[in-house]
Amino acid sequence: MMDGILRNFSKLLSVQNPIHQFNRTLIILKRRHPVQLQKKNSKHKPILKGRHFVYDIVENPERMKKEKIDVILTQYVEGLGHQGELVSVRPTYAYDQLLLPKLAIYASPDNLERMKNNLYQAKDEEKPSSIHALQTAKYLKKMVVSVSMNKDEPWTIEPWHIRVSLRKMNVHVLSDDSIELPERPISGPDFTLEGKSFVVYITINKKEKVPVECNLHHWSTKLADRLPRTKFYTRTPIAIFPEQAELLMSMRGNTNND
Amino acid sequence: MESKLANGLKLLYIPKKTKISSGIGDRLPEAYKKFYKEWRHKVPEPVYYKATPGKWTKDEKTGAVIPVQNIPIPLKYPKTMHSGIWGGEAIVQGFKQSGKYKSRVPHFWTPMLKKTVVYSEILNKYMSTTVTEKALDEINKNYGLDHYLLKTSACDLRTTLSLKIKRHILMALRDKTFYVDDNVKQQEVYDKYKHYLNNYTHEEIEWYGLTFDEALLKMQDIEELNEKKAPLKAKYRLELIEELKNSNETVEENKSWLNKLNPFN
Repeated sequence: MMDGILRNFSKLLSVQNPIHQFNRTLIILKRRHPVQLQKKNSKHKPILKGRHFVYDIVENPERMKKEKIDVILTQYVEGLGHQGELVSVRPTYAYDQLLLPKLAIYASPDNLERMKNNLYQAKDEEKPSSIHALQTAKYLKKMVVSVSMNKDEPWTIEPWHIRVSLRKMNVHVLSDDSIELPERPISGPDFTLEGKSFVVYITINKKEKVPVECNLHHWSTKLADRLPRTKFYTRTPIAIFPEQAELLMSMRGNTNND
Repeated sequence: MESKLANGLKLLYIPKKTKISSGIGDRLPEAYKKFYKEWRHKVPEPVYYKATPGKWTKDEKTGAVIPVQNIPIPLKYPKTMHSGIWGGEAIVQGFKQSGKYKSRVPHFWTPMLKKTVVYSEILNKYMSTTVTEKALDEINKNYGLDHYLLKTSACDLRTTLSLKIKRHILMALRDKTFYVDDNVKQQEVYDKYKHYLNNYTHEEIEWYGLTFDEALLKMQDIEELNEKKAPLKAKYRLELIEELKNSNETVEENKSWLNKLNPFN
């Protein structure tokens, strides 16, 4: 028995996936009652009775998930790949989002040949640091981070405060070096700063620098002393430093447009 | 004896009358007739069923050897299909039957239509059309609309719209009327697609992708141009001038008949 398995093992490996059969997008029908044999080389149309129109569905690929196709990107696409990269995506997404707006071309033999000669490759300096970098930058730019500081003890804002506040919002900054605070220090407790905003810069992969809006909030460990909750993320931002006011407004303006 | 019989049968054979072999259609040029045969008479690729390969098969139960006869599933071609790219798909009319002793229920299997945009590289145009999933799949498989249309024969494209686009593409390729401003790009695109032009002559492209009625109108136009009917006005004018010239040679005093009459005689 083992011999048989071994002998046919190569056949098992080469068996094609049923999806690979022709006409993947078409429904395949079969007559339940086969038509009787026709005369050889007959010029007449076969006589079809009512029973010959009873069909069974052999396969219905409309319900199957479509096979991915390969495309070559002609441009950096957020979350997908760099310029000149071969990616495999679902055909509908590829056609609507990549091929029609000319963000990508088909991976035909000609185009693959050209890709090998690095015709579509971009230089490393022009590339974003990773395929998700710009997406992350967009996400961070939209954020309003609440920085909760102590109401009773004195403090000065340091990078780790921002790191912790971002962590509360599920953004994990790996190193404090990538957080850049405003030039002038902010210290407190100072109730004139309550609910006001300032901008810090976060560097992604030591390349993309993103401004992030932070909102100062005073917080107490005692329940009775705590300030009431506010919707600081919907209010128009009031800048702690007047030079940042314009930047803050423009960032909020972008979010409103989206 | 047999050969004589075969000859006799040949004499009996009368070719079937078709639109292009009888009536006014017979006068159409060969170039159009070739296209029409490719469009209407050629057997299209199997859709909706799997053609069994080979000449013979074995019966599953008895093991008896039987010849393979792939009888295609009859398709219905609705009028609306001509305003889209259906990629050979059409409508199947038939029955569903859930069990041997259940009554069969009429059912139409129709393609899933999708409103989308197709892009032709040669025409450099985005076109909003109705397509089927199969057509989109074929476009992706052939790496673009241009390759798909140029590769596929008319019987598989079937719809008037796709044939019209193919006609425009072929004419643009033949006359090099694409990317007129950019010569480098034009040459690049031309080199990519020029091998498709080998299948057609200049005249065949002229007549490609026309419906029967359009072809008749075109033939009528050409015939009228060749005849060049001059207006009768010009003809009569010439005749009159001729006549006057002739009359000048033999000058005669035109005396009115009134002069002949003299009431005082």
